[in-house]
Amino acid sequence: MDGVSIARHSFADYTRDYNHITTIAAPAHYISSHGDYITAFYQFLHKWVSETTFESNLDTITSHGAYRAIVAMGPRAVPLIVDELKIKPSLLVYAMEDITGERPYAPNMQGNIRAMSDHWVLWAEREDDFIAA
Amino acid sequence: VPGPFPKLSTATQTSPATEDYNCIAWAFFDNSQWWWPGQGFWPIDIDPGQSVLESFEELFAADGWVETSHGSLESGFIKIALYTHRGVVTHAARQLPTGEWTSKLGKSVDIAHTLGELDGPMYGTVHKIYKRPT
Repeated sequence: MDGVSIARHSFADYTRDYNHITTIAAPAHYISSHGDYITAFYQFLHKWVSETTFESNLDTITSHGAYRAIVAMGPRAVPLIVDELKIKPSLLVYAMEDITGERPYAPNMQGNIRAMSDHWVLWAEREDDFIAA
Repeated sequence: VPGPFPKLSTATQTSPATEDYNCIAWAFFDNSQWWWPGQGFWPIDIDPGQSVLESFEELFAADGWVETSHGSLESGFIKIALYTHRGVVTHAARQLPTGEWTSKLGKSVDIAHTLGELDGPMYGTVHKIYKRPT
């Protein structure tokens, strides 16, 4: 216990782990443009993460507008989600299921976000064609 | 502008943020899974047509918990508070041996807090308190 008062934390504190995404999405020579799906993906991701930070209810989390927008991006979002899952376990595993219609883990792993994330990363290594689509 | 937890004042952070587990898992001493009926881990079968709240009530009953009228510390018992907001289950907190409560805040951190500190627009209020012998 570090004695830090929770009252001093803001939404930004809880989402700061995602600050790396700008660096990943936009190397120095990359110029984003309006309508760019990579920029849009990270905007949706940041909105979803920040607005569902304190939620436990998976129904609420996976019906959030920004989550649905990520799913609506379809296969283009898959490599970007996989990049996130390589960094740390995430509830984005459910977006992978919604986009691909697959479930590359045993039924008894449902809810084990770390194991589900690991299995989606392995799935991506096997499914180059899907990732490149 | 009131935040999600306007009554939070004395709580202390007790873990880093993680999406490995949620408040329900933490209340039931599990820090490796995200518990939620339907899409998450759920330790018992769910009847078709059962509401989320009914699934929670069934879980408590199946695991030996009974409803209690208060959240005071009782020797020989452990307690879990189930929160709802507008009839929707939002959160669970577990009582610590000190009488404080411990909560995992969604995808965020664990905190130690008083029972009323999480009341507000995010989690609503305590719906029921359950207890079980330690």
